[in-house]
Amino acid sequence: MDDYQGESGAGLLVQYAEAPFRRPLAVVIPLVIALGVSLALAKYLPRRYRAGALILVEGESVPQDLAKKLGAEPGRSQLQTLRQEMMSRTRLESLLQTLNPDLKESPRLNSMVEQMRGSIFISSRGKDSFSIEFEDASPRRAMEMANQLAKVFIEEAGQTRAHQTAGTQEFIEAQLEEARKALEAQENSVRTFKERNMGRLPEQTGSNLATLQRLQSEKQGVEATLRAAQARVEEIEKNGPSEPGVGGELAKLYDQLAEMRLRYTDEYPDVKSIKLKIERLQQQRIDAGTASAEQRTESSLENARLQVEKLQTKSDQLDQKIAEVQSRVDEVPRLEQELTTLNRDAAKLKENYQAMLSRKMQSDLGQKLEEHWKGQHFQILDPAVLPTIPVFPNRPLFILIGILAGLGVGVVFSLGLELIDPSIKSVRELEGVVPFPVLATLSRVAPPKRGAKPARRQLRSA
Amino acid sequence: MAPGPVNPKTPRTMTRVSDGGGDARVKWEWTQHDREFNTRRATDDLPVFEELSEITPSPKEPAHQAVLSPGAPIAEEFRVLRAKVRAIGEERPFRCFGLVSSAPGEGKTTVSLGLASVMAQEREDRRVLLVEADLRKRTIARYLGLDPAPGLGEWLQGPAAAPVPIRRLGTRGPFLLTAGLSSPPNPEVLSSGRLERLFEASRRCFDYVIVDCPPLAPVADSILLEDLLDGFLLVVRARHAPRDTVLRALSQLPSDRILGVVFNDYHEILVRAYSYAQARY
Repeated sequence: MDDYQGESGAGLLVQYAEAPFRRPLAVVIPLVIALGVSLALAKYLPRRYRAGALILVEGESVPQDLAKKLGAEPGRSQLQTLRQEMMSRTRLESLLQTLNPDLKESPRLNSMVEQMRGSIFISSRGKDSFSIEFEDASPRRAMEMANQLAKVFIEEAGQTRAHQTAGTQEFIEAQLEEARKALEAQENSVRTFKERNMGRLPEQTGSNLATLQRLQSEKQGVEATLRAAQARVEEIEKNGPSEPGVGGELAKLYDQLAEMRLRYTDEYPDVKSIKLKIERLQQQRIDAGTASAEQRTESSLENARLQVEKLQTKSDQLDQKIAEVQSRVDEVPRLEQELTTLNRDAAKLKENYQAMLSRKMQSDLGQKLEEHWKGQHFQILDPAVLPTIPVFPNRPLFILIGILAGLGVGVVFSLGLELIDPSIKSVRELEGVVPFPVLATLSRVAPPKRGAKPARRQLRSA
Repeated sequence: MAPGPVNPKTPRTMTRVSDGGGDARVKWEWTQHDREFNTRRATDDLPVFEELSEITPSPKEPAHQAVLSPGAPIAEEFRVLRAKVRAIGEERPFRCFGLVSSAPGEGKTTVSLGLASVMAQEREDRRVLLVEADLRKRTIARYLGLDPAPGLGEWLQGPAAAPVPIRRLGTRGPFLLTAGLSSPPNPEVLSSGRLERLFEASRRCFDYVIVDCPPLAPVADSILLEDLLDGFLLVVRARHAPRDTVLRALSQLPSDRILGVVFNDYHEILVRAYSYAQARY
């Protein structure tokens, strides 16, 4: 009956941790094998040597912040740019053909370029220097290639900077012209808008309101005068003669006219007809030439009525003008919004134009800076020397890897053996396997220490 | 004088009959102090024990040295086992028992030696007999560095009246009945009546009889001893026999005949190293 369910967490951990110590051969054998393999590899793998030239980035004559503003690229980012340029197929092909003219048009050129690309290493060394290294199976070739690459690098640096600056300036000029045209078009739009909406612009609101106020005041005056004239007419009619005649007919016509004008304008046909009759009667009376009291009263009445008519006409004109000015004022919010949008766009374009103009000025100055050669430049600080110690295979590293791999495999192997071991390993396991009490646990006897009495003497003394 | 009642729990004292002259061999036989027996000739054919010269073991293995040394750390663990055995004996007859294992190499012989030693050392007048019943292997003499001598195997094949040759380990150690010089041609001599009479005599002459039995697998010799002994202790060695082997071997004996298990050769590495470090600190 096997009731053993397995060790507890801590017990299991201890059991597995002890596994490599319990099975030392399971660890030592893989370790020895791995170490042997790594030593063999370190001995027999083909060696590679690396030689490098140290290049100094000389300080600028112009302060760096100004050089940066003027478009001069700082050293580190330039390093990245030049690394890409150096690793390009074109540059490497050119370099290979320079070193070995027979390679031109050779089918092996492509593969050699790829191989070379993997053998070049460019890295920073401190703040103001970097190295160009070349790796090869031959130490002499590594040294020669490293020095050649350094020379090419420095030549390329100068050309790249010049090309870069010129290209930048051309681009900036094109951008500036584009910005200028856009700004001009926008300003024309603003001007056209203002011309089209003259009198209704937001800045003219003040004068429009003043005009409106003046017209309204004037209308009030005219209205008052009109009411007075109308009252006078009523008075004359009331106190004047009541007999029929031309004067009476005229008075009736005047009354009708006043009544019609309350509802209709002077263009109304009935109003026109009444006015025509009034004129005919007035002409008729003038023609008669009688200067009687009746005629004087009628004359005053006629004058009063004429006055009323004039005032009414004026009042209508004022209403028309007031409506016109009011409509201008009402349109201002809408026009203001449109004008604001146009002005904002114009402001942005102007800002952009100003920025481009400033950049162009900097670019012009940067180009002059390059022309006078006051920016960064490079020189070889330490040329490449003949390497004596190979970088590959790295013997200590191989040994370390061998040891670690061997130990790793050994530990895993011992753990595996521990896992598949079917024997009874602990008291807990024993109690789970056999249905009998465990009376005692006897420890393993360690070898005696030096100086301990042997058992024979101990028995004799017991 | 008529024989009196037998009390198997009471040890019987045997007195020397003669000093044996110049060869230092002493013969023991029942005396008048024994209420059951008068003389050998007057009663039955229970064998007598003949003590050969006292022996001084010289084991080479550290384990064998340690189990015989009263001051060794492992002696304390054997004393714990001794106490457990005595506790069993208080509930049932357990003075003549065997040590078995499921397979060879579990450490039965070493455990037998250690247990017999501590049991003999408990009292000055304590007499313990260790019987090596594994006639095929015969390891005790080799473990203790003793000269080969006739033992159980020779006695079982010899005349019925021959005395049983025993030797004592030191002045206070257990008595030893080794397997002998050679294996008997027929291992089933263990099932003969002579062995039954030997154990019967042993119970009367010794306080404890510890039998180092053969392993339960691959041979079935221990099963032949099943009815001759009061019970068995199973010895299991750590990280030795597979669980299935132990279970299969146990199935050969009735479960009520095995009264306990001794877990042998157990050792921890990390815990012990930590304990040593703590002790030094």
